[in-house]
Amino acid sequence: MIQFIFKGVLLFVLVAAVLVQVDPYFQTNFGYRDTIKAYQDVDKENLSIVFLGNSHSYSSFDQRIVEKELGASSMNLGAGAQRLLVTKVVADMVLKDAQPDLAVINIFKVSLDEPNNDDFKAYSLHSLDFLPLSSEKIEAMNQIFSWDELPTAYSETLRNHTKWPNIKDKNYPLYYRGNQDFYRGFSTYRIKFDAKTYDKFKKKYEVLKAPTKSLSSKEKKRIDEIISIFKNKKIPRLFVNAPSYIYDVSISHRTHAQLVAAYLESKGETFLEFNIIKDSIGLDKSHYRNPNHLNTNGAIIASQYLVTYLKDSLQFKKTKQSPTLETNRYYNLSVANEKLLFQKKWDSSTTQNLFGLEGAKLYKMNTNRYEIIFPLQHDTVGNQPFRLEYDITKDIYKKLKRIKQPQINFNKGFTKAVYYGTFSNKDIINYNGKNFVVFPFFTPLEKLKNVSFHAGEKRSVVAFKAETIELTPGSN
Amino acid sequence: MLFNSFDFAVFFPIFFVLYWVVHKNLTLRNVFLLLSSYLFYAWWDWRFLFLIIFSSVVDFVVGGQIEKARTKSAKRTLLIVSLTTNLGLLAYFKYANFFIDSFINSFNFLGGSLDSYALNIILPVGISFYTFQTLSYTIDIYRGRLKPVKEWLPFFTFVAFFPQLVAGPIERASHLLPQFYKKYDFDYNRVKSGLLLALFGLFKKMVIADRVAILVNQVYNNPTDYSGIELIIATVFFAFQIYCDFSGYSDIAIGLSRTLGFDLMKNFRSPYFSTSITEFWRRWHISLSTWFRDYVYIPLGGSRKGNYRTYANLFIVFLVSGLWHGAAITFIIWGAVHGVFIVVEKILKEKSWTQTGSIVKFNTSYVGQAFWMGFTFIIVCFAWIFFRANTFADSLTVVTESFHWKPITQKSIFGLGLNAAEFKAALVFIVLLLLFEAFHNKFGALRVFNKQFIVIRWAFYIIAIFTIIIFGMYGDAAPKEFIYFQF
Repeated sequence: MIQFIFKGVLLFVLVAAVLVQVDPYFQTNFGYRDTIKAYQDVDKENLSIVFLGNSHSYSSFDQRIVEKELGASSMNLGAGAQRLLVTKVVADMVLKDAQPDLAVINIFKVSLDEPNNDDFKAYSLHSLDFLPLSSEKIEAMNQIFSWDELPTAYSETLRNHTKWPNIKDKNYPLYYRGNQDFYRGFSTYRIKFDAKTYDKFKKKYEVLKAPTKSLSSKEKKRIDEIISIFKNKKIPRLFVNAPSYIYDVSISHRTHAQLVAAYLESKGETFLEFNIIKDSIGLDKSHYRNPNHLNTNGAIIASQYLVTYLKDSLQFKKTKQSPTLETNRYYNLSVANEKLLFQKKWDSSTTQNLFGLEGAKLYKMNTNRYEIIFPLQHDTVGNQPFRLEYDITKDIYKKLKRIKQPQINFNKGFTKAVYYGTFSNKDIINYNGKNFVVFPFFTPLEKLKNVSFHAGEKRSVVAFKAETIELTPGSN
Repeated sequence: MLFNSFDFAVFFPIFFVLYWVVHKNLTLRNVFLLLSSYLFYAWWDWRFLFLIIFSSVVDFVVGGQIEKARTKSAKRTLLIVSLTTNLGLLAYFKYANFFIDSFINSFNFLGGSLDSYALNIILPVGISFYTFQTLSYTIDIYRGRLKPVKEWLPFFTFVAFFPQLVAGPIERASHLLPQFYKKYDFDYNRVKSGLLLALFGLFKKMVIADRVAILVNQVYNNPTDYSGIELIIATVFFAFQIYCDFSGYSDIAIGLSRTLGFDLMKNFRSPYFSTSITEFWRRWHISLSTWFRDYVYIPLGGSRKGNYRTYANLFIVFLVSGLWHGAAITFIIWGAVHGVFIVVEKILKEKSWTQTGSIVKFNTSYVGQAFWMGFTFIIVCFAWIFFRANTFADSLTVVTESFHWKPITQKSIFGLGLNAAEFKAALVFIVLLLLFEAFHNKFGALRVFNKQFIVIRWAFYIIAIFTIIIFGMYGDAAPKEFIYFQF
């Protein structure tokens, strides 16, 4: 009997160990995986500002603006519909690795809403799946899931085993859609919403008419917990409620936000309500990708306001080293950076033929991911088709094919990778009065050979051509 | 509680350890086994626990009284009490609606006018199984083949023994009941073989049966939307679904019982390798077919009263067997199809020309065996159509539309509820199962397995467990229950 129990326990441990190894292959929702991967790459010693919370946090606060304008290294660890219960686990993880100068915590009604339903559980797992095992994680899991749900909650294999035909390499490269911005956890899209979407959104949230009368003791407890985590480590906090039309259309959300503000004030905490100043700082509907989340241009405005607020109202003082800015789009746009992988400014007649594209700047965003910035002469780019191409080998073709890049094509012999796309006015980004468009792409190559970029009428104008472009920063 | 549920995965290890802690004290062991069995059943619906207890009380008392009764008529009266009680409960819970509906339909057909009326009766899980099991006790005592037990505890535990309580094998009192009087010592090899058998049962249920069930349910729930190859695929898949579902349950039941020291009878012996319908019934649901043989066929006269009576007896047994499965005309037709083929086979076997050299030579050759195996499988599948179809009209649709062939396209194959990967996986696992069974029948899989180096054995455990974890159907989308729970 003893021998049997011993062997049974051993088998159980072995199965659990194999399960842990297999689990990453069954992970889904790569959004937060990429955020955590980006966090792992961050220099923790010099991490100055950490942004926490939900999708409002990661859509509104662009780390590139914070780093360029404040000179402070920052990381955005927000995740879709993340509750403060889970944010606490994230905060614990960060505080084990780093001693930031400031924590910016986005909080709104959903942050404190913990209904016992599948949505809540699924959203919690979107974050928890990628967080390392810790006592705080176990505590949160125990609060969210019933005992019989725990095996599937902990193991992605048990939960997602039916997706076995689609399992991916656990090191599946970071992938973002062509119009998606991602930088150190910040993530949004270069898109705008239409009137129909707004009406739908309004109808959905208008019905939540009942104003919240008071915060529940559980909600207060969650806020207290997050305050005390940072307070214990003597880290200043700034609570924010990022811009969203949900504040305008839902009285329930609005009154809840006011109650949170009052409660935080009573606790001596600083709370920045973006929704009462959003018009005055220049945000309008064109700055949102959907009524609930800012787009790239909206995030620039919100982030710039936040930076000003930190400097002027909060007298923020960083104690860490300034971050390197070679991978920062706004830095690369603004300066003549010799570390750019490639840059070219063409003459005015070419610009004319390219509907206002003035030049090109290529820089490395992160592993295997690059972006070309095209500054614009005016605030319009027409409807401009373009094509980027370079030589590849069969091996590279196979690697590129694994990544779902919507714009990529290959010639017949698989010797050339060709990206097709179209710039239109909705793609224009405005930073400090300068208009530009960007084209991000993924390639596993270390150097691009026989590169050419074609745009203008029917892609007939060769905007630039290069025999070789080294893709290691500083090698050009 | 289902064997393939998380609840059971928690329940059984705790039960198992405690069982082997208390096993040396027979009374304590049986009390623990009985209470655990009641808990197992009550997890589904505690109210129906009283039915099991009631059945146990009636048969325990009646069994004892039959032995004491001095006259044949008194014994017969007591037997009738047992039969009436058990079959009465079964009839009420299982057949009341069927007979009411049939009566109303017949009445209306003859010109009457009655509104449809159905009682809201829930079928208690396993009632057909434990009813037959307890009946075997009183009938065998009546026949003088078994002595009644004096202690209520072993008898009650025999009736409620959880591994086989809800879907068999239907054990005879003469085989299982004495085992509750025996003490068992922990036997490592026995426990290991039991767990391996249970694991194999889980594989059949979760990896094959519940996977092909998705396709079968989609097609059979809308048979008019499909034709030709689609209906044939669904029917063939159902043949494997029901086999893997039911034999999977039996394997788990037998395996778990073995880990506790108990022996249950074999319920399946690779039935799809049968070369005749007669052989099929020696390999399929053996505990039920032998029950019908001993308690229906033989009392009807068996083969002792001439050929025609034998044919009639055989046919009646299969009709009753169909009715046992469910109160529906489709089950009766399913039984009738098997009955007809059994009778035809018996008639042919008695003809001298079937025993001539060339026919015997063909029948015993590899080609002949393969031919008859294929033929038997087709007949079995044909009968399964009636078993699986939701209504008699649906079964006719499946039969007729199966002959309307359209060109085979990827959509016609992979659009039946299983995508290409899942469909191919189902085929691969079915082929692997058949190969394994052929290997096991020839060499004895456990014997070969036990001879392997420890690393290979442990690698097998891990691979088997992960095959079930990754390819098993569980969670929200998977079918919840074993098919035979409804019978």
